[in-house]
Amino acid sequence: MHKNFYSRVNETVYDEVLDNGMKVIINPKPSFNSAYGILTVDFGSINNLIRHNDKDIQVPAGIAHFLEHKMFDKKNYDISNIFAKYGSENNAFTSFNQTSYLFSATDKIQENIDVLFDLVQKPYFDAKKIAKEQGIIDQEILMYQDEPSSRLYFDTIANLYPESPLSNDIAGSVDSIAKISEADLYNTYYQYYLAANLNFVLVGNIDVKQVINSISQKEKELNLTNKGNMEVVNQLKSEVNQQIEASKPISFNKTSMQLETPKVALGIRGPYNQISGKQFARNELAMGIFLEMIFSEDSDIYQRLYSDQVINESFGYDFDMEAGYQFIIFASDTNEPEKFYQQIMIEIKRVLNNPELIFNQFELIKNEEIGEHISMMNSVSATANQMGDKLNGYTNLFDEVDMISEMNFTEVIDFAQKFFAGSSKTINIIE
Amino acid sequence: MEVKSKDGVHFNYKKSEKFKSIVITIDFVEPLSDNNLEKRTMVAEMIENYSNKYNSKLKVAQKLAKMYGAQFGTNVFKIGEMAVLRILISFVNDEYLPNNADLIQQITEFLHEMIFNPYFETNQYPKQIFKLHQQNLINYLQNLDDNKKYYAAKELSKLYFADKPQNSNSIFGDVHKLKEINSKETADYYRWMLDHDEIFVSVLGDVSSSQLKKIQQQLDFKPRKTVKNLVVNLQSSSKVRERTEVVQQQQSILNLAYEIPVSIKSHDYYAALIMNAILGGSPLSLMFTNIREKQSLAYYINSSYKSTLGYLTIQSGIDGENYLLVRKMIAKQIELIIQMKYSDDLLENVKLLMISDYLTKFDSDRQILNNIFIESILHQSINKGDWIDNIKKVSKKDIAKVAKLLKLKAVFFLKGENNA
Repeated sequence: MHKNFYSRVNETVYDEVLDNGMKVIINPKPSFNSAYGILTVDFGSINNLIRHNDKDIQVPAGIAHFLEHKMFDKKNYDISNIFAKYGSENNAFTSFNQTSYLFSATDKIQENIDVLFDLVQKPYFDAKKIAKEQGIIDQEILMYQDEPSSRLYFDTIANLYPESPLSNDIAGSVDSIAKISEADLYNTYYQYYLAANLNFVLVGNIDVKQVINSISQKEKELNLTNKGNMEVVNQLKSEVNQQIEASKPISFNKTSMQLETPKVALGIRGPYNQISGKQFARNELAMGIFLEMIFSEDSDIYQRLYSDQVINESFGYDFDMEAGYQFIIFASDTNEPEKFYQQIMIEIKRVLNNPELIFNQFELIKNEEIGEHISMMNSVSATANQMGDKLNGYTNLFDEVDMISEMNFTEVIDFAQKFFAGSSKTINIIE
Repeated sequence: MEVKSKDGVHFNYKKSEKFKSIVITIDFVEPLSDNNLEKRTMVAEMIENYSNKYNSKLKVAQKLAKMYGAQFGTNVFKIGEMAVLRILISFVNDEYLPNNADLIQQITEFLHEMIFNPYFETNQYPKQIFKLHQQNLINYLQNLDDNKKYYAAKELSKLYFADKPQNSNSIFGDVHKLKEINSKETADYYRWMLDHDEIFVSVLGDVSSSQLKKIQQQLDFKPRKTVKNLVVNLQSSSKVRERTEVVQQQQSILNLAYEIPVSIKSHDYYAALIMNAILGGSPLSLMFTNIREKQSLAYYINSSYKSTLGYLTIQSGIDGENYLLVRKMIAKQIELIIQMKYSDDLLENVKLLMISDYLTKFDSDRQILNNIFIESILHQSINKGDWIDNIKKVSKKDIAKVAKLLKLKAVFFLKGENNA
């Protein structure tokens, strides 16, 4: 295990890549009561291709999320009941790019880790179990479709990348999950649940030595050692990225949900991005700072838009950067959607042409970002979710504090100018 | 823990080296009154955004950013029949900051300014600014109903508290009344509230005694009468009220409310907590297992127990056609608890989970502060060991006894009909 001490924030991180390719990261927090363990598979809703008999075939949309649900349901028992014996909370979630399984516990940490590793192994699917799960997930899909904010967000992404894997709901549709078969689940599982495609993060009150020992023991027991297949996984992922890249944005869309006040989103799709490692992390932070300089409450641009009633408290934005795509979504509730998206675009253009307009904001936003990063360290789960991933070269929360301190204004503006120069946009209104 | 108290002003400090931040809350408490809710909502909004010195949202936001992204905000909430306006500030402990900034000094001056020097021009908030925030709040409140889960919960509460509507009123007040209030009466109310509300100041973090003194000096509230103790006034509603509403959406929402006259001060309290966890308050619950996992009738189906008002609610998202079946299944799960027909393992596991959740609560600065406040307002503190022992002691019989007290009083069904 490598040990890395961050003196400025008094934190220690241990990390190692096991022989089977799995990454392990540990951040002990001895003064806390709980420990939080999260096991992530780099496989999410966009990864709907598998290689079968040398052919790449498509599996039904929503399969990653379906697998996430079904992994708990073993042949003769439910994993949740084992976690329950150890008094822990457990959960799982699926996003576009990853599936994560986690527990939070105050006792029997070692046992909980064992259960978490069992969870991603020994899959068991049969027709009856699948049919039952379809009923539950149908209700989950319908619930999200009735939530206007969720619809706004996901429909906007779908319009930025139409008919690509990003345009499907993470959970799929009622129709697509009805097509999921036993064979689809097994094939997809064996394709993506590889040790080298997994990482495990543990944060909180733990006995470091004991955990390290047990994990090296675990490695020998793990049935997930199909290392050679990572090459295929990487090829499949890049095929998916190409599909996403090839899609052409739809510029405008309007839906009716009988809302009190219309919701509008402006989606901006950045250029295809092939950078990874530490530079990826820097770019992500740079773009975050750029947007904060314009659209955080401490910018005079934000305040002017607020006074002119272009935006209000419901205003928010989200910037997402991944291997195959990067986008920003600005959203607000407003009776004047045109005014909203036109003004946002005008402000961005103005700043890109005259970066000196926001220079005064730079140190201020850096201070703010540093403080916010340090505050995140107060939470075991927030820390665990910020320990980095393969794509950003495992840049964690603690590294980011230093990265932000070192960031210069030119770097931030350069990245933003490149992003917007190669961008396209979509407008989405729900009323 | 209470380091200093004068009439109606309580000052609590909890030392903790666990967190890299220091958090201070100031809670203004008064009995719920229909006349004041809208003004309190506006006051909270104005305190968060303006003071005499920082007379624009921008100046406040920039000052906070300068103080290394200190988080400052206000919110309003209810506890039992009390209205609370909370001011919270959270900031990084100097120890972790690059250049030995004396943040506590700046923070306490800032707090003093935001509370004691409101942005008044000729004794009231500048009218235009007041109007802007008022309009934004009105819009915000009107839009809340677009979230159908929120709407269904609100309608259920209206049915349950039909005899005592102040308990179902939104803590933000009524939109129509909010439209009517003006800057002058809101400012007058704030001055009154500043002198009359009971005050609870709570500080959490690693703070020296001289720093603590600084905080106390800057937050020098005048003595005032104590508000009566937090009334735990358990409601009972005379009849069962049911209402169905049809909307155009995919899913239907079924919400139920039961009377359960067990307060936080009752010795059945711990049994009621566990009963709720077994019924629908935890992922191990009977409703989750039997209605979701075994029958696939819902994606979510939970219960929650409100000890300060003595009721328990159930919320679920279902297919409209299964309405009767789900209602029957819910009643059946309560019956199983009364008849003690569930495994000993379930009881043991629920207890373990509750104890673990309880201990995990002390890993969150916000939750610790909330705990300090609640203990202070209830004049009741309990140590961790006792809480855990009380949970461990509860038997199936104790749980059956509280389950028998459940009386269904309100049903709200939001029936989704998708014509699209």
